[in-house]
Amino acid sequence: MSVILEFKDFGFRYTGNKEFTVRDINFRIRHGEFVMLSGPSGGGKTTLARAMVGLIPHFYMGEMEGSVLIDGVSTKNKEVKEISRTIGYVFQNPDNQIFMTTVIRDVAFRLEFMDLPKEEMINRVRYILDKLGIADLMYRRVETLSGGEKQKVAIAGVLVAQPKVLILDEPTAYLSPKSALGLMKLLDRLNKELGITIILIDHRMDLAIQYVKRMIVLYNGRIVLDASTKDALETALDKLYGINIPTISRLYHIFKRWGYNPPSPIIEAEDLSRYILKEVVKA
Amino acid sequence: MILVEDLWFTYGEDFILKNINLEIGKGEFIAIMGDNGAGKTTLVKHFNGLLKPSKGKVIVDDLDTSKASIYDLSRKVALVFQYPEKMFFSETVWDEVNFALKNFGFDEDYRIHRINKVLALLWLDGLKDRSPFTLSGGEQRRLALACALAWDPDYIVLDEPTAGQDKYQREILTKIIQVLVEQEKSVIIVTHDIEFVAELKPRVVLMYNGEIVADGAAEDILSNEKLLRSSGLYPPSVIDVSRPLFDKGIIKKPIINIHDFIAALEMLARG
Amino acid sequence: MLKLDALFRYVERDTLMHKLDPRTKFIVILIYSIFIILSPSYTTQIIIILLSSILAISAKCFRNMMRSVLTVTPFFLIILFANYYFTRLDITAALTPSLRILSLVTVFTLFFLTTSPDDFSTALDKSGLPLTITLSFSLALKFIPTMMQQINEVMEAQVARGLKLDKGNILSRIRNYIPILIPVIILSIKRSIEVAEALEVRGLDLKAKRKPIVETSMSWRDYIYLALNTLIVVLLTAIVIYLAIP
Repeated sequence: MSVILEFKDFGFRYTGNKEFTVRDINFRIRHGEFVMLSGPSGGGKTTLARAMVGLIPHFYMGEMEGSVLIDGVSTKNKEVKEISRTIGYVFQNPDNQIFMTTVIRDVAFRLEFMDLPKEEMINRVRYILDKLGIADLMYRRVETLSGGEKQKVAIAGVLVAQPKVLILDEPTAYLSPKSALGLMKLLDRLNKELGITIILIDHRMDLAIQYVKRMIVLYNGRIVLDASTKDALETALDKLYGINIPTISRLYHIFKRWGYNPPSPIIEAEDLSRYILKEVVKA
Repeated sequence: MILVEDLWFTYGEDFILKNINLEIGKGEFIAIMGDNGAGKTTLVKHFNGLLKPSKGKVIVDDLDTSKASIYDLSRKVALVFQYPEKMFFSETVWDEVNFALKNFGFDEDYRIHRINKVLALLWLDGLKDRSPFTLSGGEQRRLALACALAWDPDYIVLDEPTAGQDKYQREILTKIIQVLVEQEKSVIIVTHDIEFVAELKPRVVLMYNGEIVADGAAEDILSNEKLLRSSGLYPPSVIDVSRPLFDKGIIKKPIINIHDFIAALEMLARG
Repeated sequence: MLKLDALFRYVERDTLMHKLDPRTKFIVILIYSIFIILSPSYTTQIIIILLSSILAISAKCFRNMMRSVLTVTPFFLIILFANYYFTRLDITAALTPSLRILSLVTVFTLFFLTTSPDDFSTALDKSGLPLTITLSFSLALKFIPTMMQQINEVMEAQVARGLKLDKGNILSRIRNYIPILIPVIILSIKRSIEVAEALEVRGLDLKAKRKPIVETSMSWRDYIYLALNTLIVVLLTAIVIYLAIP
């Protein structure tokens, strides 16, 4: 698949800071990937996200090195408005990116500036809400929604622009366990059904482990790991700085240390327990 | 002791809390768990009088919270909200910790003694003169905890302390909670973070829809899948691995955290 | 504790007041506001407060209005006290400015309680004002409850740290609010930045014309309401000018 997003020797120092927040950033993301951008708090994850949508260099002042290319074009030469048609960005707190008080008007926010016929706007809003499984919320008032529903409305407001990439910055921080799991399943569906490239920023791996195919870990502003999820959990546990490692993968490594050879660090709990029954406690 | 008797709380026409009965002893470590909207935060806001019962009683030691002031109750019960670092306003770390101590009218010698003590406890000694706003996220969270521990309250309530925290911050939080429990403080955490609770194994009070649906040992409640799911939570992931072993009679009870599981397997290996 | 987040917040009901076009209601409060500010008579202010109360009852949000108005009453009392104390005028002269503020608050509260912010923003967009102005206004409106809630949260957190708001004389009472004000200001600034970022990435186009997906429209009800209220204000003006009641 072709490359949609590319960081080339990227670095950024915010005005007022002495040091670069991120530096020497090089990676490419291809169409249809499901990537997790992770690492401890303060490692520079949000800064990279801002660079992907062009908020850096257009919104945040500072010194920028290298470049970020979207479909081969530098973000320096594009307006944020334009970039956001390709790269959608969902903020951590949905409350701050929902501007209207009813769902239909908020999701339509972007369409209202595009001089579309009313019918078309309604159809496009309905289509997105349908895809997200919240068609019944169309005429609801935002303040009556749960945290999980608000998060989906925020995503709808971004997807209505039909972006190819969706970036989500710690989307589960405010969610209940059920909503968080539901959101992960939804992202997987968007990835598989609509082919949307997903970039998930988080330091919890347990929720997304089945869906995330690639891990990029940022530590102190540098990329310290860029590997498939399986490789990361199999061979690079020491580089998963600040990340909450899923229990299954932790068990995998303990068994390895004990001299066993379990099949994979990302298997289902049932399979692992079958393995334990067969190999570990056969005596 | 915090004693909650037949507590009902209504807001507008809705019942937020329904017939809550709960006893929290001195030195106890409790997790109040439940889905968003279960009423956890509403319940703990009764402990320092921010909310008053619509019906029933909440007693903290010898104070009836419907009569006592928030000020007097807060002296005993420190309530730390979600993202407490949002509440900073002082010029220095020292002043930020000093704020509550001054409010509660302690003399200067005691204040200096306490500030030094809590800053050391939270690995912030070197940062006394820094502005709270220039600290890193992890340092800010530790400072917020230092602020709450400064006046030596008997009960410490932490609302969703792990929300948005990375692994390092969670480890530090675990250590701090362990220290507090050793000091025989009552620690009450409000959370839906099942893995965190499974590691610490406090007494668990499970809430759903404004009611307490279970109250007991972490091992019993966190291994009860049906109960957890009907309350909007999921069992800790070790359960999925340990349950088949329990079902086959290999281990004596379902195990909720990884350390216990490893220990159990080691026991098995030794025969 | 105070419950700030419910103040001035739109209450969804199915009443005549709610059905009126936001433009109608807005023009009406503008007319009233001008009158309230200019009128020297406290009797007319009381009449307006009573009128608004009746409308609030008809719109099934009287209780919400009372709650909002009562929350600002302390400020009203401070103005009353300050006027009385510093000017040493008679109590009626002190009453007028305080009632003026109270009636302004009442009139505006009624508007916010019965007007969906979305409809209001549609009406604004139709008014022909530049998008920068109408959007700022409707965003401000949308974020008022969020801000109130935030003030509430900060207050609860600081009170839990032993802050006593009602301790000491007037001056130290104002100082008691510093630990609340600073976090609230910082949080507001942070939120503004995030909202501005979000506006960018959600494709705000200041050069384009905004075309709302949901329309509002004026009907005969609106014209009657407008006419009635204009008549009332004219009558009140006549009363003030010709009868010169206090």
